[in-house]
Amino acid sequence: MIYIGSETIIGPNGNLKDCFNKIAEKKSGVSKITANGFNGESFYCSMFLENRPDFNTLATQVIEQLLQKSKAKLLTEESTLLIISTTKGDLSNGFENAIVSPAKFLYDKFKLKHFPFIISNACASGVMAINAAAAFIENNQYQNVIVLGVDMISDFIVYGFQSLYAISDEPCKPFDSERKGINLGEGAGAVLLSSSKDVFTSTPVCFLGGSSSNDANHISGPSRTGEGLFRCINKTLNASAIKPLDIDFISAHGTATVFNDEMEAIAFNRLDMQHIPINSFKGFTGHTLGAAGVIETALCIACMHENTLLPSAGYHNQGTTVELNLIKEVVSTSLTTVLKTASGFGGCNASLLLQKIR
Amino acid sequence: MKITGCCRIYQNEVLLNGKKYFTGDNKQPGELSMQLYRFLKKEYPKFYKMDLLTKMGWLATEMVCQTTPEISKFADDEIALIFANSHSCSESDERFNHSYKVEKSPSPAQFVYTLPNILLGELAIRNKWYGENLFTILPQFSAEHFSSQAGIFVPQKAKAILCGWVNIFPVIDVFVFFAEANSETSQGSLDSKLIEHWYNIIK
Repeated sequence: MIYIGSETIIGPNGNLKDCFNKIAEKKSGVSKITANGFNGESFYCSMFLENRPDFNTLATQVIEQLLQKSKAKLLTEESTLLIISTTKGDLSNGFENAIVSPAKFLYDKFKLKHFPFIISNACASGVMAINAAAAFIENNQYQNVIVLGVDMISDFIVYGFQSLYAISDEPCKPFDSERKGINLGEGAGAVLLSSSKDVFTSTPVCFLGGSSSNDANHISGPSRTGEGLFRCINKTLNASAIKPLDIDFISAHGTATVFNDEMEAIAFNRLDMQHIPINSFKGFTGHTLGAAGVIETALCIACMHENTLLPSAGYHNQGTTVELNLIKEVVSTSLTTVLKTASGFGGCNASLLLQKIR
Repeated sequence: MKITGCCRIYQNEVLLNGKKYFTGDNKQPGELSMQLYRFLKKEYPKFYKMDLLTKMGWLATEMVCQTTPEISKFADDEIALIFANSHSCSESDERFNHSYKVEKSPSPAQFVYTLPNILLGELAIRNKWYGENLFTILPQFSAEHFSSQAGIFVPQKAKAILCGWVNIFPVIDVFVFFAEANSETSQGSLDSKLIEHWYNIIK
């Protein structure tokens, strides 16, 4: 059995508890940034507005928070690995060293036994990093793996998504008929996976299985048939011996671009999952790119502990050609089994299943 | 596991399964990637829009596929793509940065290549591979990394693996290999010394 817990996040909406409570009150971390686009446009994103930490500080803080929820000294054990999930790393180090530099910083700072394992697989990085952590444990290469996801907003990222006409000029509305694109976000998330329940100071959940698949279709557009996501979720279900009927909640990728959300809706329908309560956290956290999968998995675990379904921001009317069961209001219900998915550029898709300890 | 095909490119030298296959000519027009593309007589219009990182990974994979007919016996989701490098896509990052800072026009065509796993997407599209993907950033080449990931992916997540180390900075340093189980009944591990041997064949 592989356990996952010690979930923690730091973002513009605060820590995990703050963020959870704000989502429950439908208070978003997304706000209007005035005249900061390439042509001086205003746009919406979820950014630290005061005391904005740098990459290394944010990474350090979120690891320290995770350690408060786990056994002391865990980090420096021979059997512990740190995985970092990020798309762009810390661009203040220059492009060549943007990703390796923060890893080196954390390696030195925390006196780690192993150099961090870094995954950079676009917006599926976070879910893939958690899956990689579980695979390391399953293969007895490590007993404990901390997965850290961090990405920061930069001109580079803003101008890039602007050039693709992917940024919404209003708060994003995943899966809604009026959705106009993404709100970028920044922040960090961390979770601990372990073969032992004893390393957690609060109750973890079980990691049942995870996988990735490629659409083999387009490098910057999602598949029209949802093929990669469909295959990926199927693999995860098979690896976990779980059927769609067993799933209580889906935390979708839901970027609020027209094509992404449509692709996901098609894939979930092909899997007969259209009735399962589903949300996207991105209307509250923004799209935190390489950190998204970790932040959203941390939120999923919090939902499981609280037995609460959290709403999807900005959803009013069905905006996909096939139906989904979007969560509009907070619902108290027993949550046993949860599916998390992510998709990204390069046609990558990743998914994982979590289940409460019986 | 056994390595059934490998391509090593270092600076101007291209070795296929350890044998000299092509040498780039500094006096000829065009960089190594274009010379090699012409030499291989490929017709793939998408090649021209790729960044150098993707071009080099794509070319090495084409050569490995060409020399390893066994690859075609695997189903479309049975091959995992396990790639890594040490500088992510810093060359494309610089280009996109230049497009908005100097040319004053952020280029979407360049922005899409500012993620290293775009290479995996191009390989998946070319070969119709729907299997597992993993792109990692390592401080330097590590045979142990590929050996360890081989053990993780096969047989649980894939039946075979296409592994690649694709660095284009500060010099072209590419190594792509295909590995599969020893036989249907015996998987066996992939010895890192074997990976090291094929990587160090030019240096």
